[in-house]
Amino acid sequence: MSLRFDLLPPTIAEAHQHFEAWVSAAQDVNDINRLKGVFIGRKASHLTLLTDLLKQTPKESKADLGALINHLKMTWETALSLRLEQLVSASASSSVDLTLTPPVLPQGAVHPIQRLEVHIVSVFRTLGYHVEEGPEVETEEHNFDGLNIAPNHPARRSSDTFYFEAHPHLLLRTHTSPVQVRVLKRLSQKNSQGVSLLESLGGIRFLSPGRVYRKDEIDPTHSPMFHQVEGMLIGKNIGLQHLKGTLSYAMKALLGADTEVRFRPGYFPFVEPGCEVDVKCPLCKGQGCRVCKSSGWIEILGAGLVHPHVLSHAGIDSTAWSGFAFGMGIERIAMIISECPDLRLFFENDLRFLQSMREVR
Amino acid sequence: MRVPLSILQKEISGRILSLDQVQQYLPMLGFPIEHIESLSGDTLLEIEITANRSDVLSIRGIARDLAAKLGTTLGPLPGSSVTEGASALSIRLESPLCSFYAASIVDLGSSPYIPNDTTKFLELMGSSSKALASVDASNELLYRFGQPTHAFDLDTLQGSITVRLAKSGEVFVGLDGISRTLTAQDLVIADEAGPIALAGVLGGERTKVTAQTRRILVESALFDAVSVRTTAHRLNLHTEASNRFGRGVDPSQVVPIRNLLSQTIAQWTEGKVIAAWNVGLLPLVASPIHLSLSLLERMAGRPISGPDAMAHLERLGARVLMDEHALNVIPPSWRHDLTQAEDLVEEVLRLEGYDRIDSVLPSVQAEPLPMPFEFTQRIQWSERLAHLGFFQTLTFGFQGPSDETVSASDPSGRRLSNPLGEEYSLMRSSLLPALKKAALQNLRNGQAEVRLFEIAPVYQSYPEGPHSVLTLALIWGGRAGGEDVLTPAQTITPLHLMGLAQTLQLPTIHIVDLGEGLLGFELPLPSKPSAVAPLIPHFVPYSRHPMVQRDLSLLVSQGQTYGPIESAFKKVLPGVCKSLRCVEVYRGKGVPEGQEAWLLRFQFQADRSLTTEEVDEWMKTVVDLLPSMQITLR
Repeated sequence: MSLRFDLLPPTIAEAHQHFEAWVSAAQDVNDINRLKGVFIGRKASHLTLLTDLLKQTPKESKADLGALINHLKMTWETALSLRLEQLVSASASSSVDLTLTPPVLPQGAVHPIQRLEVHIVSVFRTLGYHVEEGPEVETEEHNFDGLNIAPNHPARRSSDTFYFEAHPHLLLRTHTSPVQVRVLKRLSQKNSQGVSLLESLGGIRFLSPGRVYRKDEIDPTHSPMFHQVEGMLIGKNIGLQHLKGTLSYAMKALLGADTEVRFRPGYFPFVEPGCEVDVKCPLCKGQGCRVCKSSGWIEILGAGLVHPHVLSHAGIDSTAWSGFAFGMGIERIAMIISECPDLRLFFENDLRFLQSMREVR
Repeated sequence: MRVPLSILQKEISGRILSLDQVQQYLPMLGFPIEHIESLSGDTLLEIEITANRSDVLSIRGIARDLAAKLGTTLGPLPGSSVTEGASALSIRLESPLCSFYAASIVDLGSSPYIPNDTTKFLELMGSSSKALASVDASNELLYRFGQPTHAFDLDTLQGSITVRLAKSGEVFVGLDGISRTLTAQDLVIADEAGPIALAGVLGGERTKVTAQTRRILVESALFDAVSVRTTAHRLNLHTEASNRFGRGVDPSQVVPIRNLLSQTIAQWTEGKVIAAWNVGLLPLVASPIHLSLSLLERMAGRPISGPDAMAHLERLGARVLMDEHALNVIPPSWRHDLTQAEDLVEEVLRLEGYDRIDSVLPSVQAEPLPMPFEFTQRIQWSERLAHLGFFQTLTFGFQGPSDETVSASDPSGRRLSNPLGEEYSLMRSSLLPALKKAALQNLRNGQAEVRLFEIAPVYQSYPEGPHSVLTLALIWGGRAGGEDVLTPAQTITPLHLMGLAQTLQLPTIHIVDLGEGLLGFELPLPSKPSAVAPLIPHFVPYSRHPMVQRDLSLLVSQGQTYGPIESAFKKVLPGVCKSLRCVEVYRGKGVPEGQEAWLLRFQFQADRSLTTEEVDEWMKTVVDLLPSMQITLR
C-alpha cells in the first residue's frame, strides 16, 4: 500500500520535506528539543495538527490518513532520537581520555582438557564416529573380565584400582575401555527376527571420552583421576592397515599436517596384535631431547585389533566381525602440545593457569 | 631390563650386531629403549619389556628376537658334561604347584675363584658379586638365561626335602634375615625342621650358602606362576626370582641350567658334581595352533605367503607344519603368551615390521549415529558459561566426610575400601566443596573476583551401588569491577546470581552462601532433552508498532521489597505492558530519612499504535494504587 502524501496540508508537507535536513543540522539537545516540539510535541505540533485533522476527515480517506500519520510519527520519532543519541555520544567521546584503561568484558574459558577432548571428538566425527559414554563406577566384569584381563592380573589389585567398601564387585573404572564392553553387549542383542543390532547397523564406530581413576599418588606425572578417549570400530574384514590409516589421519588432524606417525608392537590384553603409536617428537623434531628420552619419538596412544575374546565375551561372533580399538590419555597429549611439565596444574584450578591456557583467538 | 651390549652380542654368534642395529630394531620389535649409557667399558641398555613376554626377562630372550629379526637363530645353550643318575636325597613334590624339580649335589672345592667377567657383568646388571661361587653363578645364569636357581648348604639340611604348601602361621626366616608368617597358600621348600625357601621367591637364612659351605644342593625347578605372584605380592617381596617365576619360565631350560650351574660352580671352586637327578614331570609340549593364511591376510592388509610366515615363526623357535591354506604351529616352550592364531599373526607382523603395513582408511557402510544428549549438553553448557566469563574447573571425584552436607545420601554406599586418604574416601555428593576450595585458593592468590563452574557427576547411594547424576555447579564471589574508570566496583550479591540464572534461562535456583564472600548453586542436568528443541525456533510474529516507555519515580519506606509491588502493578496493567523493571534505587540527598527513591520503567507495545491517552490511563491505574501501599510519587 502506498502512502497518500497528497492528504497532507501544504505546510506540513513542506515541513516534512525539510525534516531530514533540519535534523542533520541539529547541533545539540536544544535543537533536537525544538524540533521535537514542532513535529511531535503534545501541543500544537504537526502531529497534534494531523490527529485533529483525522477527526474531520471524511470516512473514505480516514484509513489512508491514519496510516500516513503513523508512518510520519515513527519516522520523526526515530530520526530525532537517533540524532540525539549521536550528539550525546559524540559529546561523551570527545570528553573521554581514550588513553585511560578501558573496561574489558569478562572472559571465561572451557578447561583445556575438555577443549582437547572436544577437538579429538570432532576429528573423529569427520570419520563418522559418534560418542558413547559410560559410568565411572563400573563392575569388574566390564572393567576387566570383558576385556580379557586375567583374574589374577596385577591391575585388579587394591593397590592399583579403587573398590567400594559396601559393593566389593564395584570399582572406579581404570580406563574408558569398559565402554567397549557395554556397547558390544548392546550390539549383540538380537531382535525378534534373530538379527543382532550390530548386523542391522552394519558395523559401528565410536569414541568414549571420560574420566578414569587409578590408585596413584599425586605427583608431576601421576594423578588418581585423569581423562582418556577410547575409540573403537567394528566391521567386516578389518585389519591393521585400517587402524594405521585411521590413526595416521587423526594424529595429523590433531597435531598438525606434518605430524609423522610410527607404529610398533605393544601389548594390551584386549587387543591382538597390539601396538603403540608414536609421533615424531614435536619439541626436538626427532633430533632427540629430554622429553622423548633421546629417541626422537613420543608414545601417544595404545591400539590394536580387537581381541577375539573381547568380541566373544560380548556375544559377538569373532569369525564374522573384526575391528580395532585405541586409547589415549588426554592430559598426556595436552602436556605434549602445551609443553606443560606438571600434570597437577590441570587439576589445581588456579585462575592464573586457566587464563593462560585460554583458547587463543 | 638391563642389557649389556657385549653380552647381547655374545648370544648372537656369527653376526656382528651394532648398537645402531639394536637401537633401530628393538623398539620396532616392541621393546623401546628407555636409556643408554656407557659403563665400565660396555654399553648398557635399559629396555622396556611388555608384561606378557616373560621370555625376554633374560638377555638370551632379547637376543632371540633380535636374531629372528636379522634372519638367524641363536646357537644352543652352553653344554655341560653333567650326567643324571639316581636320587641322592629324598625330594617329594606334595603340591601340584611344583610339577618338576631338578636337583644336583656339588662338592665345593677350595678355590675362591670368581671370573672377572662375572663380577663385571653382575655390576652392570645392578647387582654385585657376593664372593660366593654358588650365588654369583646362579645370578649370572638368571640374568643371562632367565631361569632362577637356588643353592642350599647341604650340611645344614635336616632330613628329606618336601615341596609343599606352608602350614598357616608357619614362620619363615628369609635370606634377608626377616621372619615372615606364612599362609596355607604359600608354597615352600621344607626340610624336616621347617621351610628352607619360599618357592620361587626367596631362599632361607638357615640353609643359605656361606664361605664355610662345603657341599651344596642345587635347585632348578618349575613353580606355578600365579602362586609365586600371589605370595610375592602378599609379602610385598618382589625378587628377581619371583619376577620371572611369576610370569612363567621356560620348562625346557630347567635341566640344562641345573647342569650348567652345577658344572660352573664345580669349575670355579675346583670341586665336583656328585649327583644330578630330577623329580616330577615336565609339562607336555603345547598343542598346535591353526593359523589360516586368510586370517593373516585380513589382519595384515596384504597377502603374506605361507613360507614367509613359516620362516618367521621358525626363527622364533616355533615348529611349523604348512599346508596350502594354513600353518599348524607349535609355539616354543618359552612363549607362554602364544595361545591362539591372532598371537601368531602378531609374531609374523612383528618380524615383517609394522612399518610395512599399509595405511588405509576403512570404508564403512554403517551410517554415523547421533551424538548423545548428555555429551552435547555438557559441551554446550561449558561453552555458554565460558562466554559469560566463567572458568571451567576439573576437580577429583572424591571428597572427605567433612565435605558431606546433611542432605546427602548415606555416605557408606559411596565409600571406597582403599582410598588415598580420608579426604578422598567418598565419591562426592556435591561439586560445591571442591569448587569452594578452588575459589578460596584463588582469592588467597590475590584474585579479586572468582567465577568458576564445573560439570561432573555427583553420586547418590543406592542398595545396588552408587548412582551418578551429571551436575552443574557454579561459584561466583569476591569483588567485580573497580578495575577501570567506567565500571564501578561491586560486591557479588545473590542478585547477581539471580540475574545469571535468568540469563541462562534456568528454573528456580537455590543460591548457597558458601561464606568468605562466595555464592554458588548446583543443579542436576537432565539425562534426556525435555522437549525436542529445534535448531531455529518456530517463528512468532512480533509487533512492529512503536514501543511506548514511561518512567515512574516513587518514594517508598526502607525495608519495602520490590517483588510484591511489581506483582500488584502487573495485576492492574494490561498484557501490552511488556516490561516492568526497577532500574534505580537511591537513598540520600533529596530523599527523606527512612525512605528511598525507586525509578520504575514501564514499556508498552501492541499490534497497533498505542495512543498517549490510553497509556496515560494505564499509568493512572498504577498511580491510583500507590496510597494503599503507603507509596508516594516523587
